[in-house]
Amino acid sequence: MPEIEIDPTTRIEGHHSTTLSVADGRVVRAESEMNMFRGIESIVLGRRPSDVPQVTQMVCGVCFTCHRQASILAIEDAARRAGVFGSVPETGRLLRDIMEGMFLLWNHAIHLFTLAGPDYSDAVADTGFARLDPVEGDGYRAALDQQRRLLQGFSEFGGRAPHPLTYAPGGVVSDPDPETIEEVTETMAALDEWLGPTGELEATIERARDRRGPTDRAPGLYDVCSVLVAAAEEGADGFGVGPGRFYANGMFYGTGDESLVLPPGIYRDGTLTRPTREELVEGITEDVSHAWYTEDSGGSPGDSPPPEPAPEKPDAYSWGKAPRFEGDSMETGPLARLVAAERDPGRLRESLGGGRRRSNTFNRLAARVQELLLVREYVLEWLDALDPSGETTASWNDEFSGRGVGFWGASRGALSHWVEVTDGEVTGYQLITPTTWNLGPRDADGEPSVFEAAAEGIPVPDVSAPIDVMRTIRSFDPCLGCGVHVHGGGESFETTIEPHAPGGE
Amino acid sequence: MSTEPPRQPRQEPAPTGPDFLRLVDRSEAGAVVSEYGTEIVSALRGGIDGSAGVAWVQGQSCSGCTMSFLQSDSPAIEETLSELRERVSFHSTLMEPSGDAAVDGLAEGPDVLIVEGAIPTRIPRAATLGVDEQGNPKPVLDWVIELGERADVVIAAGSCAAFGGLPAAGRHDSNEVGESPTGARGLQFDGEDPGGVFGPAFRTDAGLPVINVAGCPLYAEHLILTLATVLNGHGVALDEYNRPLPLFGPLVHDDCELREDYECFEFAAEPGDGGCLYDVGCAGVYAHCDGSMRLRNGGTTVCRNVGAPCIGCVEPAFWDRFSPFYSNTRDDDGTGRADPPDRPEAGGTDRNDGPGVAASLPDAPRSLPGIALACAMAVVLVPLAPLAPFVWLYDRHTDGGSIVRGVDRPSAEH
Repeated sequence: MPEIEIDPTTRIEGHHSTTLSVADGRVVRAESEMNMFRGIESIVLGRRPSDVPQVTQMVCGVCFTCHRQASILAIEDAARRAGVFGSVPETGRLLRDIMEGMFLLWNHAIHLFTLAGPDYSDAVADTGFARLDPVEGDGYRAALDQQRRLLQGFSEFGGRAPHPLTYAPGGVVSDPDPETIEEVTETMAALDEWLGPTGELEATIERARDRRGPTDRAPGLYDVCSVLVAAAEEGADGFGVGPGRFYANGMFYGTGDESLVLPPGIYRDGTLTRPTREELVEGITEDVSHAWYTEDSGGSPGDSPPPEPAPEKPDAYSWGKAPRFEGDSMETGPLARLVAAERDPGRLRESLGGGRRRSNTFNRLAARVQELLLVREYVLEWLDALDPSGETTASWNDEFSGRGVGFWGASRGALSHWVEVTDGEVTGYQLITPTTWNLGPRDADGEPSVFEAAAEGIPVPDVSAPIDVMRTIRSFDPCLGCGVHVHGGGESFETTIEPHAPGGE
Repeated sequence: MSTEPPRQPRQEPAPTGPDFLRLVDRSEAGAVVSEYGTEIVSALRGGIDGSAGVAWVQGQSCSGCTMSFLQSDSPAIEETLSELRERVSFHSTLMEPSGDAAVDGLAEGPDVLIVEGAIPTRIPRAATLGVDEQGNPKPVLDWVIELGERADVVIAAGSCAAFGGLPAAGRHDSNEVGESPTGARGLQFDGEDPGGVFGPAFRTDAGLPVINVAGCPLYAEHLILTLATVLNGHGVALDEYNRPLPLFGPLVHDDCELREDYECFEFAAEPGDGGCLYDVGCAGVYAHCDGSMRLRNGGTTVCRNVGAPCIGCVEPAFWDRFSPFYSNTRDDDGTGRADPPDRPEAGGTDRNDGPGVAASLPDAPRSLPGIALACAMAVVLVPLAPLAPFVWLYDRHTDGGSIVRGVDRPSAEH
């Protein structure tokens, strides 16, 4: 059986490799390996609660807002339960929403153009979409410009990006004046124009299918639709099929009542439910049977100690743990969020992806495009509603004891931070990232992670170029070192992925 | 740990374009990148002899420095990448090939090695890239030593690669805080202490120590200016922590937008209040960086201008020295002295009711702590490499006090 080892997986954030076993031209087993460990959950111990978001933010320079946000939510949750904190003022909460929203837009743009996009470009896959060609394509270059402008706008509130410093327990320390809000609104208006109306999705898909090129307005919409058209033509609705169970944390408080703009959801066995905080706290566990940690590093995140490395552990193959909800692996990400929100703008998933709740590589890309368009609308609304004279932060005191959990959404899926504070010091901390949900290792029962399951069955006609496997990995937008190796039967192949010269050179 | 004595610098071709860092030294932060955009792009394209290869390797990183690099505004990142891609043989976030084809690009050995992220030395398996000859995951530690010893220029991109950064947090903290078990270090420093993956005496073939472009994350312009300068064949003036001096010479406090508040005794009592952020933990009086003038995100703004106190992210061991981040403590100035820095003079204002007593700004922690650290390191390293710290000290005191100069090359002004 041929053995393919793809290490490193490139165009993701961090270290990942994948081992695939191939038989009869198809993947029969995949092992997803995360190749980096830093020990963040140990580093935060003994620190003041208000310092912890600073540490956890640096978990990821790509998800740089959401780890700060989830950490703050966990600490605020703990303080609220301890009775020493009320709530973040509405303006502060809205300002966080705006920053989180702008971040998500930035991340989706980066992903669709620089990370996943090249797989569907003319230079890499002869798709006829030269605008997507890395570095040289007009679409790619426009996206680099847009992402930079977007973060310039973001930094008006955050002070810098990546790694803004203005979110803090209690609220947001920046207090933007009307001129600043106006400037950010102008930045968002430019993005809005680049992306074009959500209502033109279907028409633009048709345009891209005919390779007609963008109209003068909304070139961005044409380009993201090109990615989808190319993916559909490459059969991405038929590969990368996960177990079809979805988990989304709610995100965005918005301007309405207490319900979240994108609601939480668990979708299993054809049923969508809205989990409560308690159900999530009870249901989530981490399995370390195939991770390089000691056995007692797993269990319920509220009770387990920081992960203790065991790099020589037999049968382990990843630095990622295997999170489970009531024992099940769960897919998370924009697709899970839109399944939970019951949204399918432009009916993209229904008409091109085999159904709006189908788990496959196409639908993951489609949901990312849809979320890009939806959240753009939200951010514009929120900017309009932002009161420059409103309070942005409530007073905060680190001196308390208690436990809290912060549930939030990173652009790539459900994120949770779990904290224990004792007399003003952090004494316990766990964080569960979307990438471990999607690309973690097997659990004690040998049940594969979502990606490991999704990779099985993918045709690999040419073991030297398993591009559909790569497309599937990237469809999860992994944010961590992860690797893919293909092996089996003792036979081993030198994998060479041909470098694709940008611009068709 | 490699502690071999410095090698003889080999003969280098004459510089081929402007010395951008020298220009920075003579102008306002931000001016050089806007005035010399074309020359910078041309340096990235042409470089020393037009064929210098660049590789960017990530250790225990968050990719934040890569993402910050993508925020380069002038020259625009589209231009920069377009020129650089011809010479960048490896960058795991941005490159097109994956797997072996990707690693092949590394094997040739780049002329310029850029490292992002700390390097785990106690558990090398905590960051790996590709596989070794036996088919086992190959530690980034091995890659960095292998490639670093063959490169002309090694750049630590960001505070993790430079000093250990976040994965090394806690090890230099006087408080009881947790730390990572991985033994993370910087390339040539471990916090403030010389000696990381490479010994203090390490020099590249071109006679340079590891150049530390610090920051968490780094400033895109800092990296581009440094890279363009070395690709043009110039040496780089460095401070005692091997940071390019023109970029890391000023104090954040010097040009801070809130400086006037400081002088007028207007201090914020809580993060988010108006006024100088010193009382809520701002490390700007200890942090060396031109950021207050240069600003972040293409000159948009910077932390303090929107109410966030400086966390000192450009300084070695900043996680340990400046946390708790929302208060200033005796550890912060790096001298371990008992008294926090004093207030400024109230002269020139009518506000004499401010807190504290009149005195001057604390001295920048420079030569003195450097010597103290060198002595401490001399003790620590004696069993390993008796000569190395003296070589290091010698370096510092034969060339303009606390400044190390890079390889001496004929200068070419353009």
